[in-house]
Amino acid sequence: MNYADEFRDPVAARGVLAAIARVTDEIGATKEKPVHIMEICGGHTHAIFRYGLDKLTPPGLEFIHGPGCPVCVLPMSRIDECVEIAERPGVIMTTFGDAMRVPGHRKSLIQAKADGADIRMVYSPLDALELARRHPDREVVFFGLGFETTTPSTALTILQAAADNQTNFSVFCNHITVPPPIKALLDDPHMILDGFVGPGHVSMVIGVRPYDFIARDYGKPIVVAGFEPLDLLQSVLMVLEQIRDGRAEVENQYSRVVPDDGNPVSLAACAEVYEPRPSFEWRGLGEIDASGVRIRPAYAAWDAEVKFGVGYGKGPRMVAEPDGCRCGDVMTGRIKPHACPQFGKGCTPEMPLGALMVSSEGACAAYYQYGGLRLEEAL
Amino acid sequence: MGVRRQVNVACILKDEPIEALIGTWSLIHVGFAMSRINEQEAALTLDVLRQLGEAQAEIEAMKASERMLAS
Repeated sequence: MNYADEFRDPVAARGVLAAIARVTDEIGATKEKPVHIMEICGGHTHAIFRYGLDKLTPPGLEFIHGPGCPVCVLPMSRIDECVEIAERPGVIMTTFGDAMRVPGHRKSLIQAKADGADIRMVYSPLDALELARRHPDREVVFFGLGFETTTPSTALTILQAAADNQTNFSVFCNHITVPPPIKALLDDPHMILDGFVGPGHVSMVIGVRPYDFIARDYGKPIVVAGFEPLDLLQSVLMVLEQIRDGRAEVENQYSRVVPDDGNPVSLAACAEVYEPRPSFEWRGLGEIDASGVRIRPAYAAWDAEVKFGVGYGKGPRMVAEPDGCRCGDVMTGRIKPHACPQFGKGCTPEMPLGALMVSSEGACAAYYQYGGLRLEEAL
Repeated sequence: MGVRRQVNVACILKDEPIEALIGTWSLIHVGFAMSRINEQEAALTLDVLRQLGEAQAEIEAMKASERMLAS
């Protein structure tokens, strides 16, 4: 048992797929009048296309790709601010690799690097902290971004830096949270969702209770899911069964990784280091109340926004997206990626115009990479 | 095979010595062990999946039998 291969078994998949087809039928969903299920997490979007699950499931079931790709929802203004810090003399900017090609208004981080800024890719924020130890004469900044899955690792690194008094290290914090944008989507009068596949790795940190409002206040089912094909199929089946039975509950398919109460050590570290921002800008979705966190004043010495004087409220906000980019419409489920006029033409993974084409977790990149026939039709 | 690297296990350590982790599986994310795999829960999930597969095999056998009798 390695907890991966067992969840990729094609024989078991046939059984689940048959049950999905049966329940979709029982609901009365058809190609013309499909049931809409949103997979919130970009990791799930990637897995759906990687394993072709959208082609194996019946036409009466439609996946809507949610906003859970942190690189995709990062507003251009934050890239601009990150570039601004990176171009200061003496700074080493460190970042996860997938943020390198996200377009800013002026340039992406990879363009800034080509222009001479010292920008380095790291696997872990701990590697950025190690870099600060090795370069005491430089200012090492970590571009912290991601949902609740990643937020604790940055918090624990800040706590480590504070314990070591490593003052040439700081974090440009862009961490965001899953529940507020889900609420924003549910409050959208155009929204057509019937249920949700919930994010597995976010939930291993926050647990399943933060989703209670989805079932209680909006009457929609949500099933927290793992990332192997059988996990996703089983979760979709569980959502469909809830819809068929007229139930709206929070269920946990990924119980081998997700405890109902999340991870107490991670949550405590986050509560110690961060406080909610009044609001945070999401690409394609706009400003959403209390959807991001910032570093508490007690840890201001490790807050790059304080150290370099950039960030929210420090300069004019530019919210415009590039001409013809329809990332926002894709993210809210209004159009499919290939319906965007720039898809595969002005916007490709090599030269992305919109953020959804940048990360492998973005819906457009997944369509482009695994789109098959649909891609040929689109071009 | 694979990659060797140091990871931070603060998030998955309960009141126990670090040696208690030897032989267990954990989910690692950006240098941090974030969750210990619950083997019992994994087995339960696989059981449900297996039953779905068996139920489907039975339905298909019944259908094939009906077709045979009808022909």
